[in-house]
Amino acid sequence: MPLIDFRNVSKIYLGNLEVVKGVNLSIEDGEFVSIVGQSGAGKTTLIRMLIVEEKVSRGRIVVGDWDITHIKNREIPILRKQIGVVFQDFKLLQRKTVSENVAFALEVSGVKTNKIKALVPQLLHIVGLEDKASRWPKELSGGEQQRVAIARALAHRPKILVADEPTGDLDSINTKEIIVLLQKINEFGTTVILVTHNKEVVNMLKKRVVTMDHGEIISDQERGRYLI
Amino acid sequence: MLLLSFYRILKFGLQNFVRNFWLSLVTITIITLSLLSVSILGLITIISQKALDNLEQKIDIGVYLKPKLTERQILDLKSEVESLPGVKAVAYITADEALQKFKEKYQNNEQIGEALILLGVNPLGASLRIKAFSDKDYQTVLDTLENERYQDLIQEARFEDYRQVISGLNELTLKVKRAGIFTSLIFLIIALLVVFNTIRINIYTQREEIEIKRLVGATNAFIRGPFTIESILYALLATLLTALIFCISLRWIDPYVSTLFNGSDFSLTTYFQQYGLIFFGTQFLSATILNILASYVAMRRYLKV
Repeated sequence: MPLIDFRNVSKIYLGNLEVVKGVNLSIEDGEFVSIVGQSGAGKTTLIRMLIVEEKVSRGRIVVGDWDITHIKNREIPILRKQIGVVFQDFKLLQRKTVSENVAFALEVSGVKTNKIKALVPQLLHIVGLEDKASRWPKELSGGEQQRVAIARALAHRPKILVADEPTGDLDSINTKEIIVLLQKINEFGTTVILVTHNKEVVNMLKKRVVTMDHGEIISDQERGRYLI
Repeated sequence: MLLLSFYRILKFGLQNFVRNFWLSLVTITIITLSLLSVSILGLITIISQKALDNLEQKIDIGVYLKPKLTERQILDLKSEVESLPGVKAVAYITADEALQKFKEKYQNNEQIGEALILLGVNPLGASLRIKAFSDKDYQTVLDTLENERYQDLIQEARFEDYRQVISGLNELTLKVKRAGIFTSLIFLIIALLVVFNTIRINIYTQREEIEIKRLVGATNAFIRGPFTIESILYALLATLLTALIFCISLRWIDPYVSTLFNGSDFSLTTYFQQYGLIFFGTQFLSATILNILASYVAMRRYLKV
């Protein structure tokens, strides 16, 4: 049974604008999948439906054995703890230090204080920022800020890590560092979904590549390359 | 776990309050003005009610008896009057008691004191003070006492009529109350809109934090709770500020009110020492409910969870 199963999923906005058209996609536990395509291909909308930021117009999404298509509002936090998310713009709180940013994710989920104190250094160690725990986000490079965001996304030890254009704002050296980190996280057993339109990143990974165009999947290759 | 979550929600609520300090201050000022308006209305109601009670207590029929009457005759008359329809209570004041009260009343007037000594005898007679059940009963009882069969016993029956004063006071109080309710309502509406707007602005300034909370799996309580705490905090601080202003003002107002109730032991300070907690507690509860309502509407409208 796949870990994530998109079954004939469509997203239609008002005015009959169909941005995702009948997508069928299965992702196995522990996979590293890159979803690629040009802007407006429907990649981000697909991911937003997975984390219930958008409602599914047609079809079903199943995570594990949990059909989240019509998930109840009170169940959304439970799902989101199982799916870590990082974005192109990092979404760090500028008035909090590196460790406070990571701790914040645990605090708002009701994790005990002593557990937070133990977890935060571990998470910062994974992303290689243990020596910058007390720095402010503005004192870090783009790559380092993204690593903080990844540490925060891993706070609940999620089964799935979704990275939506995580290298969009980074130079080539930082991009490589982030991709290596994502690979390392995947090797630990976390399923990683990377949404990108960076050709070099996709070709470097040599992992499964799903290509989308105009809301549809036009290619799904086991050890793929960037097609468009 | 629950306590820890509550503590953190409280912490985030306080952070919201401090981060937008000036906005919070304006909000509290507006709520305080509304509560002060309500408090003044309450004060007017208390004073006027007390004044009406005082006047109502003063209404009675004074029956002045002929000096020759024996104690037996007076007590028989008292029993008879008590059995009259409409009579609530009859108090018998002996000639000695009447003199005693007279002396107490004019203890500072030397001329009256000297005149009483010169007279050598008690010039005051015994009397009955009659309380009736209602306004109408007073006239009925008075008419009955003017009957011929009482002429040998009663020297004079007089009705102390404060009804006109009471009706005037009632009318004035009603007008002041209406104006007070109108002003309070306007202030309350303004306060509700201000709280709504403050929460809306806070949601906007914290949109990134809220987004992160949602993405990392924070529950609705963690996302909405701090805004509810913030609105309760506004109500609490505004009530405390109102109570403080009110208590300071009371020290200034109280002597004037005491003069108004000359002869009565009524004091606003004593009254609020006894009922202040209920008075301001009710205001705090009402302000809290209204603030929570305003912030709930703002959250429903602007906060996606």
